[in-house]
Amino acid sequence: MLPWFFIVLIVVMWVLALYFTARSFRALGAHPTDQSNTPRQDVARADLLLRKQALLEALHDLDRDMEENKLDPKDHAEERARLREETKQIMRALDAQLAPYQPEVDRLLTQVPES
Amino acid sequence: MSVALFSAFLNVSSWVDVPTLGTWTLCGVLVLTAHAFSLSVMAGRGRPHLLTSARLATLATCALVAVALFLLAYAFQTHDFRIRYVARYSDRSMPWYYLVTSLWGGQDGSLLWWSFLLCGWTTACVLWMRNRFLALQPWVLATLMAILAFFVILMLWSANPFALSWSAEVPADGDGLNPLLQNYWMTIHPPTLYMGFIGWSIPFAFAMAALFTGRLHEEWLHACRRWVLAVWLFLSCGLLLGALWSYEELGWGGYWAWDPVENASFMPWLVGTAFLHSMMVQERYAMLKVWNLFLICLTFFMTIFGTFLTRAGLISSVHSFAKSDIGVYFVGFMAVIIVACMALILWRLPKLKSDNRIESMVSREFAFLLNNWILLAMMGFVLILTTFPLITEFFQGEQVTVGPPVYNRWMVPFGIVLLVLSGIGPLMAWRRATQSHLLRAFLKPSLMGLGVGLLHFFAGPTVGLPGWVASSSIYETATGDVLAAIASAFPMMCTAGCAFVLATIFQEFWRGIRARVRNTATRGQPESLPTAMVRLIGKSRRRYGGYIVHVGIVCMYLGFTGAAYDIENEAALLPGETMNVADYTIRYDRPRMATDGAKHMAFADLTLLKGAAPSSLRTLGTLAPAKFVYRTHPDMPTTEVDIRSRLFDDVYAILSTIDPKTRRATIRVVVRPLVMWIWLGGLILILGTVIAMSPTVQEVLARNSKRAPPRNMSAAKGVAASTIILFAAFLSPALARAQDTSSLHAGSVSVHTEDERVLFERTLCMCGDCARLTLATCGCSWAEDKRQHLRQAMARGSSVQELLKQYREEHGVGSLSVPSDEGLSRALWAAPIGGGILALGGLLWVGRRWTRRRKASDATSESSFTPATGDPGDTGDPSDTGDPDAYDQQLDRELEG
Repeated sequence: MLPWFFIVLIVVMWVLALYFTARSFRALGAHPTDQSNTPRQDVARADLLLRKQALLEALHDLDRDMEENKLDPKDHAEERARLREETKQIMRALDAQLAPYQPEVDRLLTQVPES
Repeated sequence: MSVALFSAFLNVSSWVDVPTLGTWTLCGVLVLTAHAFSLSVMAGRGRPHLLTSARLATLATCALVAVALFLLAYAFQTHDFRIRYVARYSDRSMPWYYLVTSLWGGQDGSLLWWSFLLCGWTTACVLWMRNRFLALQPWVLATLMAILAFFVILMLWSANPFALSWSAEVPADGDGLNPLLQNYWMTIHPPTLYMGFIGWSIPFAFAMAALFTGRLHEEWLHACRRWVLAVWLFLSCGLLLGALWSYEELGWGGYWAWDPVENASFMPWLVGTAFLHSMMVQERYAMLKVWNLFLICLTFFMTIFGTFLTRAGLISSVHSFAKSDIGVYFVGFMAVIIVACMALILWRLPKLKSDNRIESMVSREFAFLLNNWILLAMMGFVLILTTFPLITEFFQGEQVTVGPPVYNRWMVPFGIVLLVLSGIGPLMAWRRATQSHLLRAFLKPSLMGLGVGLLHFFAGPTVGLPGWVASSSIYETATGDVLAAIASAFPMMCTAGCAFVLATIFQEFWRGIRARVRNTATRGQPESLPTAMVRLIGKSRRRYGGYIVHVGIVCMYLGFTGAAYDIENEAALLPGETMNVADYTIRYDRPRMATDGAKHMAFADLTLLKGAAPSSLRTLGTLAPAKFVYRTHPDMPTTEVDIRSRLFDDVYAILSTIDPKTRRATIRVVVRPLVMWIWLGGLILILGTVIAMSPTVQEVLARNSKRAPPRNMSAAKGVAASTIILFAAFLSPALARAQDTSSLHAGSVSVHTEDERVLFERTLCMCGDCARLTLATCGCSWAEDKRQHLRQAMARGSSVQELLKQYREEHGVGSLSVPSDEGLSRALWAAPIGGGILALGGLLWVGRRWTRRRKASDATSESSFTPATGDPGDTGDPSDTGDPDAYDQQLDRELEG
């Protein structure tokens, strides 16, 4: 019985290997400018979002350390201000990236019928 | 006719030549690997549209590796003895599950198994990345494919698992798997350990991708955070399962022997643990960028180095594979890794400058650096001790092996420092902690540690667990005396350290819960203590999961302490006779013989009774230690121990000899306190790690609201499944004992006096076959003769030192497990200790320099900064002009969410 189990696995894996190879070669034919076959290149935005997440975590940690009396209030306020400012800058940058699309968003919003 | 044709069709081997197909499949894997690698590199070098093709080619490669592995598994199940590897590691009497474990029982198959697991990790990573980390993806794939290519080349050129047998005639039966490997643990321990070993390829690939692309900020750390935790979990479990295997199956009574192969898996764990801590610093404050890259490269390098140690046959080990010529390939691969990592880091050095610096030496960042220092010092020490035979062979022309006594002595101080540091870290705040807070935070845990230490010292002897135990000196020098003193105080220091760490963790939980209860009450939504605790952990899973892991480590330390209180006894008994060990009585009831298709078994049925006086005996259960003789390996009788595990002690029974004619059995019983706590600690460690790596409910819900629910739920399911598997692995010793088991150390050794123990632990078996075993553990006939000879010499009045000297003169420098504290041997400890002290000095110097800079910048900015009033809602933001802008409000909302 068990040999057959492995035969089934072998056949399934062969089929998968052939399928992925064929698709890999088919994907090679995509034109460099064909966006349907190219993952979205929103790398810069992803960077900003990651940094923002790290800063939010740092702010959470900082507040928790303060709540647990681990920090001097002056140090806490100074560090909090610095982290907040950096986070706000990133938020501004994120919004700035979306700014060109804002008129279109506003236009579409006006077309949404009020319920 | 049609039935005959159908039967012939079912017999796949008759129309498919498995060895040829397997070899060609491996060739196909190599071609596909090259294809995926080239596409990945091209995608990374300005042709992003090729990434999809590269991902698909990678998946195809992984599928083809699976084909190769399943072909070999099929060959084992059908006993295709044309294949050399199958003939060598299986026989017709083996059950199907041992035929499966034979896949990784030898060199060639384990390389294919390695490749298969690497492909498993790679597939998971490719599916997980999808449209994320697009800039890193091509180089991650390229790195993984390059690693895979190395192993495939190795198989095709030097260790093909599908190679045909040397002889023209196909053998009727195979040699059979070594009896030592025919046990339950072989099905779970090696795969888990391999998963932990190979998995480091994923974080390493992300690091390489970061270096190639120059995207060296937190992105790559964010990408590999959960992978690192998962891999670390597997490696930790692999090590613990190895210890459990050693303890339950090998029959020598211990769980860790500092064998080179054990060390090979321990070293990446040490560096990986250091990375796990220091990556948090970079994620938070964009510091230690070079350091983190160095650590992850070193971790990956140590996994390859460990594999090299295991497989090249350079160092004697009871676990080693047969000697082979693949060592030279590994040397080449390691050289490539070193050159590539160094070149890339040097190339990117200008981009790797930290955005911030450590502001204070009294901060969590600095505590993490100290933790890194001690972990790396331990790694360096283990590395030098493990490779000492090679070092001495190079300088002195003779291999000098370092035995467990040296490791056990030197690792004690390191272990204690590491334990205390794991308690200090959580007490520190990020950036800089205040002096008044530190005093407050340290007071109660320190008092707790001190109190428990003193209690142990004074009250311990009354319950048979003294805080101070007598220890012999391993060197006849002052160093030896200092080490002996530390080892003597180890139980007391360990319990004090454990109490300190537990108190700090409890304090952290309590403060967090109290603050949460206070805050929720202020908002008018008060939470009960249990609710607050659950939500606190849920909100900061990484932090509190980490604390739970530390609780697990503390439990393990308690378990290690128990080794100081082992009590053992050995007696030759006739049925009905009894023996006493500690406050247990063991009655030998009867011998019992049994046989199955594969082996003959001789059991000694014992009854375990509580109490030493006959009037107060209470039956606890039965034990049945045994000797097995396998049909295929009659010259390798194995010792099967039986253990009754309880929370406070284990009763460990070993059958030394049994005479079927007289029915007399020689039985050795060891009572080992607190061992259960090691495995309990392992379970807590798993729980903590899973909490730390699990996604939040919000994350899962947020992802589920997007388009691909199956994938998102599969992440949570994957975590749940791996947790269940690992828990099951740990909770299965009872099942394990029901399986056929075997011993690596054939036979058991009786030790009658403390002097005998010291002497046998420091002398190695020099028969030529028993790699690195001391006379205290080796059961071969040469070792038994030698023990008798040494016992007679001791009876004639010779001292241990005289006998050690004689033994050394007789068998050479390499015959002692503790190198003398002189000449090059002194470098054994002086080099790592010196290096460690220098590194610590450097660390303190850098810390002070950074702290001074911070103070200087504080002084200049003091006048311009207005301290906040202390209101948590007040941002104190110097750039704010008064009216909080929309971003302030948005930020507040996000912080509350």
